[in-house]
Amino acid sequence: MTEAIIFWAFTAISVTAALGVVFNRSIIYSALLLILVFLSIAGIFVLNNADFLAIAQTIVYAVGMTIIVLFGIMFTGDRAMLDEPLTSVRKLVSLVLATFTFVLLIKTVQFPFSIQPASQSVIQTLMQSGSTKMLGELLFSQFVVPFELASVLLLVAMVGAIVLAKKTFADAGEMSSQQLSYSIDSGEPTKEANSALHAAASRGEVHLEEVTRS
Amino acid sequence: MYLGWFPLIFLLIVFAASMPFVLMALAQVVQIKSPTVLKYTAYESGMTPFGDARIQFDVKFYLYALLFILFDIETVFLFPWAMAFGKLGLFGLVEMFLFIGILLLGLVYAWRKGALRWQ
Repeated sequence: MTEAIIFWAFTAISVTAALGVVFNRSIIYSALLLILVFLSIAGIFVLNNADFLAIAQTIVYAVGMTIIVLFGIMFTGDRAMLDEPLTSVRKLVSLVLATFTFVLLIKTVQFPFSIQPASQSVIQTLMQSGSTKMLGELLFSQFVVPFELASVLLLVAMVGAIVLAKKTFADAGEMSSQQLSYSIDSGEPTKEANSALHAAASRGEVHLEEVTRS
Repeated sequence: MYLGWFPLIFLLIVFAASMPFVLMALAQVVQIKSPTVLKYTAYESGMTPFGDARIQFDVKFYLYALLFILFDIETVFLFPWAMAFGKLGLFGLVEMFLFIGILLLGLVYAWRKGALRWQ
């Protein structure tokens, strides 16, 4: 009985917060409400004996993903969305996408996966000590190779992110130095342009002698 | 149903989340209101705020966010390891050091490439 009450409370919170995410016009508030959605779903996981999943949900989604989303918003600025009108084309596109995702979700739930019911001893341990310990024992015995491979996967992701980011920043730097030379050609070099130029020279990208000659 | 520490964690979250509201409400109830124009100015000759709080952040922060996510995922793997540590013994310790070591290679790479240096 109490379990049902807690379940429905978490469900009500998550659905209300999810509606808030969708209907809030300020994208920052949407992102913050998303944390509440993830946390209440983590609560539902706990109720279903999936304590490790609840921890992963909190750490990866409620903290990690939300930070990525918030950073993305902060880089682009959220003013743009508040000022943009909801045109009928945009409404149509979002309707099609939302319907597609919804149908996909329903089909996934209905898909006849061949899931074997857990043995009685597994259920017993699950009830007593939760899934985290059992997962740890499995992870370091039967699935130790996939576990180590996961670290390699993470390493690849990290190196990839660094390479992409470095490349993007290098392009951005090039663009600013182009703008810099333009501003010098067109007249008086500004104070900012000057200091940026000296910074570029100290990195060895620009030779100051050439610039002063031209 | 296995709950463990989760009810306490839940109570902690609820307590922490409601604390700001409780404190603000308490301040509203207890405070003596006698406002003057001077009292509403910036405290102790601080700056008068200007512009918008929402500014566009530098995209350079994104790399740090990405690196954070990856080490965040590493932390998730530490939980089952810590819970099962008593049973795993030395093998588990070596395995986990190997796991963290491979991930630290990424950090070393980032360091060597100067990705951690602020440009």
